[in-house]
Amino acid sequence: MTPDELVAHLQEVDASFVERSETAFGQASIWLSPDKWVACATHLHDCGRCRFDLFTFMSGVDWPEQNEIEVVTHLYSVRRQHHINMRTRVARDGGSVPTLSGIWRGANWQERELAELYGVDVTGHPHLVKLLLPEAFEGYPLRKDFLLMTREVKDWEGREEPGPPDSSPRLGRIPSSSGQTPGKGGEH
Amino acid sequence: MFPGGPGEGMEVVVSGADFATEEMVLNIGPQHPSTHGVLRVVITLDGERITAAEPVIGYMHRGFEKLAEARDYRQVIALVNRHDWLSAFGNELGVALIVEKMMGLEVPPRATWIRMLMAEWNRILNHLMFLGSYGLELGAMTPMFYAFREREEIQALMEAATGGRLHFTYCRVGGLKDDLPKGFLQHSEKLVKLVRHRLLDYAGLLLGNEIFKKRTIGVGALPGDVAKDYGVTGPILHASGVAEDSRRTEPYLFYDQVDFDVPTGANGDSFDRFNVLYRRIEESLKIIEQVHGKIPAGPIIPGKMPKTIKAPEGSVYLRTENSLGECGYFLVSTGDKYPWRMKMRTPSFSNVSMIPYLLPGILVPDLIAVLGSVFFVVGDVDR
Repeated sequence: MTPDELVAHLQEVDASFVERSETAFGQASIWLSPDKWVACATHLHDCGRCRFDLFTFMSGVDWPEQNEIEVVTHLYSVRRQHHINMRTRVARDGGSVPTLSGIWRGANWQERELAELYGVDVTGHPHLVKLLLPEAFEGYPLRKDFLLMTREVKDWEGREEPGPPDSSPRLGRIPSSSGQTPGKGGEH
Repeated sequence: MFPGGPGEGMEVVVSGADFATEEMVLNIGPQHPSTHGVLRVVITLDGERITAAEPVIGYMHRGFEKLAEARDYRQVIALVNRHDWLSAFGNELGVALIVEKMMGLEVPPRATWIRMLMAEWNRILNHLMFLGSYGLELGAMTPMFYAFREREEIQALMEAATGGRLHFTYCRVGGLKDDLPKGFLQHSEKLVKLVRHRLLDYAGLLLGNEIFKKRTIGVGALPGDVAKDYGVTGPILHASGVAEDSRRTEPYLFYDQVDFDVPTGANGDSFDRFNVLYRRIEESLKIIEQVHGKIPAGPIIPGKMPKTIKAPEGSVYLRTENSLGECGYFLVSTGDKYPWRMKMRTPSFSNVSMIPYLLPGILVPDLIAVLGSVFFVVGDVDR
C-alpha cells in the first residue's frame, strides 16, 4: 500500500488509531494515544493487508518545550514492502507505554534501550533492566537536559545548547558510595 | 579385581529420576576472541547442553547518538564511520543519503556510481573478515591469513581514493570528497579478477571441507519468521530463506541499473549463513564489474552547495543494505545545522538480540560455531 492508502486503511479500521497523520519524504507517520498502542500494533502485525513482520526499531525523541517524549516505532513489511512510523507522545515525568514485546520479539531490547536512555517506563515488559548502561548509572542520557560529559567538564563557547554547565544536577555519574567501578563489572 | 579388560564388569547404575545434574552458569566473554570485540554471553548449562543464554552488551557503548546531536552533518559523517568499523563507507553513505533526501539534493551521477563502487568494495572487505575469522574460530588457521592477504589489497585500493584504511570519510552531503585518482579503475578491474580467483581457495578450504560441514550443517538453525520478528536482516535473514535486500526491494543509488542476485539459504543454519556470505562477495564483484563501465565523466559534487548544511524540518527513516544488514538512520531535524535526534538503527544490534533464541538447545562445543556465524561487530551493537 502507498503511505496514504495505509493511513486511510487504519482510519477505516479504527479512527482512534490515527489521531494525526503525516506523509513526509514518502513515509507515513501516525500519532496515537498510548492506550491504543498495543491495539494498533496488533492490527498492523495481524492484518493481511498490513502484515508488518519486520520490527525495524523503536526509540524516542525528546521535546523539552512541550515537556514530552515522543516514542517512535518503525515497522516494515517484507511481504507487502511498505513502511510506517507509529508514534505516540508521553509525559517526560512518569510517562509510560505498554510493551510490544508480545507482538514482535525484537521489541524486547529496543524497549529496554528506550527505558534506560529516555526514562520512559515500559509497562508489562518481561525484563526491564539496563541494556547498554551500567546498572548504577543515574539519569537518562538522551534527554536534552543531560549534558554531554565534555560540556560538563568544560564550557564550550562555540555552543551554548544544551545549556550552561552548572544548570543541571550532575547526572551520568556512578555514585562512588555504591562501590562499583564504571563498566558493567560483575563476575567474569 | 575386574575380569576382562578395564571397565568390563563394572556395574554402573544410572537411575533416571535421581540422576539430575546441577545447572551451571558460564560466562563467555567479554574478552572471548569469537566475539569480535567485547560481548559477554551468560549461558546456563545442563551438562553440556545450553538451556538459556543472555547476551550482556554495552561494554563499548560510546554514546554516538548523543554525540551526533552536538555535531554538524559534516562531522556526523566522520562519526558514523566508527560504529561498524568494518563497513565504514556503508555507514557514512546512509547519513549522506538521508540528508540529501531531506534537502532534496541532486547528486551528480558520477558521484553516485563511485559511491556504489566503494560501497561494494567495502562490503567485500567486511565479508572477507568474517570469512577468515569464522574459519579461525573453527580451528582453521589458513583462511584468516588468506582473508587478510585480499583485504590488504582492497584496503590499498580504497586508501588510494579516500586516504583512509579504516575510516574513509569519503562521502560528503551532495557527493564525494575527491575524485578517483588516475589509474584507479584499471587497478580495480585487476583486483576483481584477483579476488574472484582467490575466492576459490576459500571454497576449497572451507565450503568443501568435510570437518567444516560436519560442524556447521544443521547447527543453530533460525527460521525466517523468527528472524523477521527479531528484526534480523542481511546475510543472516537471507540464509533463513527471506530475500529481503533493500538494494533490490527499494533500490537506492543506481542499484536498479545493475544485475545481481540476492543469495539465499534453505535451512538458516550456520553453514547457510556462511555460504550466503561467501556468495554475496561474488555478487558484489559482479556489481563492481558492471559499475566500471558505467561511471560517466562529470562533477563529483554539485557546484552550488550551501556553506552550512541544514536539513529542513521534519523526520524520516532511511535504510541502506549495509554489509551486515539493514543499516538505517532516523533523522529528526528542526532545521538547524545539528540533527535534533539521530537514531542509528544498526544491523548488529538486532542480529545479536536474536542470540537468546538461537543458543538454547545446542551443545557447548557448538556455541562458537553458532556465535561466529551471527556475524556482528560489537561497536555496531553498542554504538
